[in-house]
Amino acid sequence: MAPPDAVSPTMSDSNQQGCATVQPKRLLFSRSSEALLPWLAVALGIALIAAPLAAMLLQSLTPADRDGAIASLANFAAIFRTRGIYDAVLNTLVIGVAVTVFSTVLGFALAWIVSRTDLPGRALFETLNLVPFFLSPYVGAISWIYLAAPYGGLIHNSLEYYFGVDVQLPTIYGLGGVIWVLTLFYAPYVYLFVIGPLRRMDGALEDAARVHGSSFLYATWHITLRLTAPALMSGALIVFVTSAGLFDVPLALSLPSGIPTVPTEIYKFVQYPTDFGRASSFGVMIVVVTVVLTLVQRRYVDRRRFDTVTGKGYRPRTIRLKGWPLAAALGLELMYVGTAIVLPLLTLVLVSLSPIWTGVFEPTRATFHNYQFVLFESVLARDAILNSLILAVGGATISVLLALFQSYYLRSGGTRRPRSIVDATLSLPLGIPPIIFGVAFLIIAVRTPLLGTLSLILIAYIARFFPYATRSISAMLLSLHRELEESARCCGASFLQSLWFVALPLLKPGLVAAWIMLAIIFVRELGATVLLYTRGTETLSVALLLMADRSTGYVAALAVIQVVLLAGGFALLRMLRVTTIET
Amino acid sequence: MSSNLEAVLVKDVRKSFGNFEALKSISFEVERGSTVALLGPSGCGKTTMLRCIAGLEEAEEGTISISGRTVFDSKQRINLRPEQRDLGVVFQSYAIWPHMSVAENVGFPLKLRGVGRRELEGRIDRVLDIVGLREWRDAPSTRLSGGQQQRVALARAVIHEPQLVLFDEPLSNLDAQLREQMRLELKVLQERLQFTAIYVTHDQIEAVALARKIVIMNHGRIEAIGPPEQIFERPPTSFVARFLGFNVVEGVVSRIEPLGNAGTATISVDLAFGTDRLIRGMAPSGSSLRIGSRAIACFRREHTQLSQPEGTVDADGSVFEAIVNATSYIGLHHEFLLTVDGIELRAFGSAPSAHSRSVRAFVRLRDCFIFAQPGPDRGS
Ligand SMILES: Nc1ncnc2c1ncn2[C@@H]1O[C@H](COP(=O)(O)OP(=O)(O)OP(=O)(O)O)[C@@H](O)[C@H]1O
Ligand SMILES: [Mg+2]
Repeated sequence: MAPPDAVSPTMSDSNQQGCATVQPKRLLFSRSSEALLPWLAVALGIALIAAPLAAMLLQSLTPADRDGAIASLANFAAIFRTRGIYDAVLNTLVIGVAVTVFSTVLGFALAWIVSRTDLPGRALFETLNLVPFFLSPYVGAISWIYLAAPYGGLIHNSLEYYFGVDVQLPTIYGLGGVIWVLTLFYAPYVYLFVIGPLRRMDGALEDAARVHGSSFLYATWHITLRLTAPALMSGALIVFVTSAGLFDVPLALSLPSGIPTVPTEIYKFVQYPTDFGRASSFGVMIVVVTVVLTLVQRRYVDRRRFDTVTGKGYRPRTIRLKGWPLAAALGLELMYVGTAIVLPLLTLVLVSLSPIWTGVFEPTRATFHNYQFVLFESVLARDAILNSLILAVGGATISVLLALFQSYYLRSGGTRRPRSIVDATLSLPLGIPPIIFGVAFLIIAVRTPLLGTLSLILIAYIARFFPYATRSISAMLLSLHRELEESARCCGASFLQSLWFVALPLLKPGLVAAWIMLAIIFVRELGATVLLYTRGTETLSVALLLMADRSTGYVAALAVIQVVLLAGGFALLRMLRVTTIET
Repeated sequence: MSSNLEAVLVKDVRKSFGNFEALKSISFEVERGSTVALLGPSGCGKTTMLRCIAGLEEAEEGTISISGRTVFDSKQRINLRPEQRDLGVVFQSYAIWPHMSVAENVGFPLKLRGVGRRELEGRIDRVLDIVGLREWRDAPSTRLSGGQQQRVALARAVIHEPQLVLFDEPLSNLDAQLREQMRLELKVLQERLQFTAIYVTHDQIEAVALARKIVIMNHGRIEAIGPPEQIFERPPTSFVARFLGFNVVEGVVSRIEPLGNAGTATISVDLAFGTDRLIRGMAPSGSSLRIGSRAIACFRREHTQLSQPEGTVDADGSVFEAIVNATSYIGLHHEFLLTVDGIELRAFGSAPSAHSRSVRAFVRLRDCFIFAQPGPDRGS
């Protein structure tokens, strides 16, 4: 085994002994130009990450009133004097922690039910549980406003209309609403992470515990939960980072009642009168926190990757549900599917078919006018749909290509130490809220002709989201036996030929899955887009935001169109029988 | 430097991974049309050497040339890519592409070389005939058994008539019976196609069967080079002797004298071991053996005889009492596990003596090789 990446004493020795011409390094000269592609992709990836962050750092050090000082920390000081900033941070933490806890519990419970019990309709629930993962939480928030707005929500009105009861739901506006909607939409993240380990877990382990006299709950707690802990942790971490950095749902649900979060504060800094100083210094602080947390996570969480999978093909025990456990399990599944999928989507459809939304659906007045408007009459909606499609297809294609070549570098390029640094760098955006990339690219854009172009949004999307593709594709590439490509090279294939004839066909399902996943992300993106769009470069999510001033019917119709697009992506993925999740 | 006879010339090749030296100055050559076996224990750098020749790994120093063409030279900064070296390689995993049919796999090198469709099909058929897979031509390659995959890999490695074919333990994934059969087929194929080959293995039987020259490696160094007969008859180092499964006895040199006529380059050495035992062997006269220094005696189990051959005298060898611990019949012969003062030895012989556990073992002087032992810690 090669020793870990310590500086080698023998290497420096041999250099001193006069073989200075031959460095113990790879010889750069001999690489043909196509072999440079992985290096190029890595350089491009790093530039895409470093350029906006550097621009933001420079901006944050530039004093707003340019009297005298060239650089100052005034912007950082100003952050701490901003009214309500501590509330925003606190609210963000509350959202992050609460959503993480709730969706971890919910996601684990759902995964356990479909993987370890004989619940009727398991197969269907298995698919349904995943659906919210592909839908937009922002659209979810909008439909929950229709459902549960105080005085006029569909739930309240229907109960009153049909049953004559006057039930007041807790208000959807506020932190509670944000946590509720995000829990519904992020439980599938945890679900996706744990379902694999749960399904492959050796039921004998649990049996052993029970044979030795532990109760069912005790065995579940100590064996099942312990063994799925690494997957659970990875899922929880992603949920925390994503929910704390999310802009759109707080924008829809908490900001209207004056409850700020970190992303909405950044959004406010960039609104008129624009305060780039504060926006960027706040952004810099968040990036620093992210970097530190990432390092801590790499150091401690990644190490504990004990796999519970024995691979011996044990069938996990299925637990027979009877009586109240059956009712509870079925109830939970139905509740989840009802509140996360059926009710929101039904509401959207009902609202989109109503000429004016009054809080109840009147079938006699149903109309397709809203669809006609957003599909054929509104320039905004037409542009938005087109732009979103361009961004999704272009962004996903470029990201996947970038990720593919980067994966080649990550597998075998250069030496080990720089490689792990590159790996960490390329993963950095995963922890940074998209709106911060929005700020950073806006800072770049105001000084370049990029301002107001679709390319700006495209570049920002790629910069923030390509690491998802890099992570999943490099994991796939690692599992592809190297000799498959090496034998192609030895048969006379160049790097690109072996990629084309051997690697691509073998990686195709995974590449397509990564492509669809990114396209889905791009179709619903709002955090970065909201700072970068102008007239003519609106996207679907931006149009949803802008239409809200005009008519709920338009919003709902547009949201339904977005749902159809996203559901199409989901259906494609299911057809390919792949689910991607990067760990 | 390279004559026409040398298909492959490897000179002073060094390769490190981090600060671990996998290859420490390796040099050897392969004659055109012949096979060289790289033999050695696991982790000694055989695969690394092969990958350096193939261009899959880049050495830090040295030169490698194939058919007179320099494919790697650290000083001149030459390093051809694998596809430029005109090779055939059979990997340990076979590396059959699962998304291609048998014919597509086998024809791939020709397809890359732009061979026309008609000729391509013809050559695929011919090579599949040779490896006996004609009926499997259009089968998906995932349907093949291990031995068949091995044949596909072989066909793919030779179809474009490369300058050099590299084998990395091609038979190690097969079961014993199939391995034997494939070894013979490989030999036949080799004689028929006359390709130059480097064959990596850690199985000495394979090496002997297939190669005209054997390179024995240890810890990234070459321990021995030579025709198999020579290495097996007279192992040049104690490592080689141990690796080839010789009996090994450690002891102290008690007597040294010239062997035979004056002027011959060998000496006869007596080694004291166990409790008052002596074994007599020979060593090159230039060796560092001194009276009182620690040394090792190595002799083959085939040369450990359980009765003193007629017509020999004690001075021609050594005799010692041993106890038979176990006997096993291995076809035609019996193999005996003996102990001499707690030291385990193996011997071949005919039927065991039924009545006695105690036997006399005899080793001839010229079958027993004495090596100086550099340090007391050099155990394995
Ligand atoms: N890419 C690599 N990085 C670090 N060390 C390596 C690498 N490849 C090989 N090594 C090390 O170099 C040494 C030689 O490896 P090599 O694969 O050449 O051995 P081998 O003789 O082929 O052994 P085996 O018979 O087990 O295949 C081993 O100690 C191995 O751990
Ligand atoms: Mg090997």
